[in-house]
Amino acid sequence: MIALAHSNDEISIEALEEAVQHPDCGADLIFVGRVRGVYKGQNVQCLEYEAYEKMAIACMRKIAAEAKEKFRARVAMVHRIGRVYPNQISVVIAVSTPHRAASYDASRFVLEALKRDVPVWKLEVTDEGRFWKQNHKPSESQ
Amino acid sequence: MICVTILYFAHLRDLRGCSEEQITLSEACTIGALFRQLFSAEPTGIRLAIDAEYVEAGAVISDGDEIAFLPPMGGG
Repeated sequence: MIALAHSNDEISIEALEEAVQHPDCGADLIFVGRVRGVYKGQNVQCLEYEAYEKMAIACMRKIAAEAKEKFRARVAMVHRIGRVYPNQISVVIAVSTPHRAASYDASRFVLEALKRDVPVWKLEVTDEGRFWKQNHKPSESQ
Repeated sequence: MICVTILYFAHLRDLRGCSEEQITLSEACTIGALFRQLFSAEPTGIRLAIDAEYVEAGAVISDGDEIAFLPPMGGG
């Protein structure tokens, strides 16, 4: 399952995990990204995500294929598009691998590749204004 | 004549004032040159795509291409 979920679409974490389960795989790992209510001291009212949708889906599929090649991982992911409020889910990544070490590596690989390469943007709406917010490299993130 | 569709996202859409436009070029040029022509700036930090595939700034535009200028990503 590789998808973009628009604001009113439900994201089912259970469905993502089910999508990656396989008899050969003994380690499932689910990453859930949620919107923070405060960023650098400012109250975040919401984030507004947008995407170049057909390219985003193609990039997500490519990342999943790379994770399969690299870690023997089965991957499912959904990214929210539209308005998302604090504590709501922005992204879910499910991976399943034969053994646990690879599932941690694969999950991190998929998340970092998604943040770097999938054409999705977020407008942060705070009490101070509206700002396009860009991702940092992993070494710069907190 | 070369007709292309250009897609703008995030702050580039705000700068350009539209999310999509069709333009006609009298002769072939690179996608980097097209960006410079439209924004009077180098595409520093901007990733470029033709028909939903990443390309380098030197990629040459063809008739019917869907061009996209992609500002730094914010997914996740």
